[in-house]
Amino acid sequence: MDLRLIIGRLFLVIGVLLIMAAYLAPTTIRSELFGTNINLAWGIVLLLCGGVFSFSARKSS
Amino acid sequence: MTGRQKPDSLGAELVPQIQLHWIDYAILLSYFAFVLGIGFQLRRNMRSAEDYLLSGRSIPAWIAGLAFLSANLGAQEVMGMAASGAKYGIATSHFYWVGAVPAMVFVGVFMMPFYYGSRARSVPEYLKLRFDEKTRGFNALTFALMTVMSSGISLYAMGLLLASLLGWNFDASIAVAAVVVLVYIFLGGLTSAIYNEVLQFFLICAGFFPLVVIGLNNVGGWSGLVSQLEKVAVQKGYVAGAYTQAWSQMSSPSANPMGIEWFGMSMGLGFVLSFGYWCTDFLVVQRAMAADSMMAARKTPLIAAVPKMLFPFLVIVPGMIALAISSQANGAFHLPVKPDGSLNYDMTIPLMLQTFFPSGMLGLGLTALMASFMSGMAGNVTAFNTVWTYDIYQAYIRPNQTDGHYLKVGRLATIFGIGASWAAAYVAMKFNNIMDLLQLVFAFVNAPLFATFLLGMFWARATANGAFSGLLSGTIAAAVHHGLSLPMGSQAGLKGGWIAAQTIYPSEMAQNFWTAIWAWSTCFTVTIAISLVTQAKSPGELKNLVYAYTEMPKDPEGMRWYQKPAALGALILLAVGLLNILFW
Repeated sequence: MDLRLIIGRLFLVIGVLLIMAAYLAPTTIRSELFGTNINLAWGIVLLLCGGVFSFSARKSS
Repeated sequence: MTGRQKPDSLGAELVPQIQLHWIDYAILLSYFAFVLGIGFQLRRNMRSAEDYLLSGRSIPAWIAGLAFLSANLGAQEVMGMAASGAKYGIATSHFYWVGAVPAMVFVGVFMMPFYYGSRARSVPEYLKLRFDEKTRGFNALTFALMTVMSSGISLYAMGLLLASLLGWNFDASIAVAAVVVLVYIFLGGLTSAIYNEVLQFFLICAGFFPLVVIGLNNVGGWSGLVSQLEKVAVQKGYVAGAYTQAWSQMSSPSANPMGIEWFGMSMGLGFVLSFGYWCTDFLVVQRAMAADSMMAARKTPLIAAVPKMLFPFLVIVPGMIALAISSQANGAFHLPVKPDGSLNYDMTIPLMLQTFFPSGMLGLGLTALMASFMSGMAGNVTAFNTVWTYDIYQAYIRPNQTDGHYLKVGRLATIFGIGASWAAAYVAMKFNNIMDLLQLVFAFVNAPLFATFLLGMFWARATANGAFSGLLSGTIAAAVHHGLSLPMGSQAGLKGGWIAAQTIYPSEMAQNFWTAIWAWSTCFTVTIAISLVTQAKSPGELKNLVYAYTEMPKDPEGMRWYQKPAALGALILLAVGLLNILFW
């Protein structure tokens, strides 16, 4: 069991959920930082991190 | 008792409860699914007691390294360090830059060859090999007590979090959390704990980094934070840099909020407590001993030291931000007050999450906290079940049983450990800063133990009777000092002064540091004195156990200089030295 794959998948799932929150959550509970929707920005970052972990695991296997 | 009474008594009622949205629950449930999934996957691999309790010594260095770090990164560390950041300011970074990092370098470069090379299954077992059975027994019992206490603190932190943020019943929260952790460890043993600790490490980074960025943005960046904390310091009667300078205000106890001077800090925290914890606590050492080779075991603490030196920015800075914004005029952020009138610093992180994170990010932050709680508790329970099974049950109760029998005992010890932790959680409620309670426990157990290990590993003349007498007298010295001293403003009892309050310390932290110094010094002196008049073991019996009779592992040929443990350790010390100077 490659731990990088597990970490990658978890980050991908959370990233997708945050991006969903960015668009589906009511505007009253959206929060912005530097003019950016935090859920969207951080969701994309986690998606990228998840992709790197997953790619790294697949490459070594 | 109604469902609201416990949260009220914790001060949690003073925190406006939040309404989680479906997206927050979805993130939380995803994490639980992964945690349980790891447990179920690993369950198939748990064929022997060694698989369950020792991970079969098969963990790669990077996983062992991050687990080494994360085993200590329980909720009490995350919530406790943020609480200390709000209470003491940047001086809390001494736990990392004076304490943890140098100690991690020391254990990786100098001590791991003895732990790993001796093939001991636990720290108490090393003591048996180096000294004798009674020294092992004493350490095993005190360590078991300490892990239960630490685990109980994790459980308390979790209950506090759920009660305050979600409005759950405190008692029910503790019970539910304990069952979740029980199932998770029961399935996958130490490997499951290690894997989840690494998962937790990345979750904490993902959950707290945005909190620091948003918080700093709110107070006008680092310079804005310093400026606001300087005003707070002056309002509280300190000089301006009391909360933002790590060393400049250490000339006397009254000059800084921690109430400690440079000697107590360097000796009590930097040397005794930190080296005692990182070099002898089986909870963390167990992760390195699970590594797949001697080189991996030596690199484990060194790999952990790199992120460790950066963690103050992730866990202490939020506390400092909370202190700054809670003192703003017309500010909406205030730390809750406990029924006894003291501030509930433990609520710093939950309040910060609640204040700054929208739905979605809040779920991530909450999940990171839950993860830290679960891993912190799992780490303690896995260390407890190993010491119980090998160093107490197999050694004294039923030796010479089958491996399957000890596997079953290991699983039962997990259940008992969780139950005992549940009881310990209620003791933790009596302290307004859980980090202080933890340091007190360490002062009783780890401080004298470090003196025993230092002499045991590096002085061949140290004898079994010397070590046992030293450990016993060091622990008694800690108890006596605790009984004779009291933190300012506290009542005699659990916080000290139960013999007579002869000495009043400015803070619980200062009392703990000096308790540790007394415990270590007594153990060190008594061990030497008794050893000099008793019979030492022969050189043949000390092979691979003492520096003088152990061939230190050679670095493989062709290894680059920066990959060698000694060079890596030197680089880490240089970096941590620079951090101390930067925040002097």
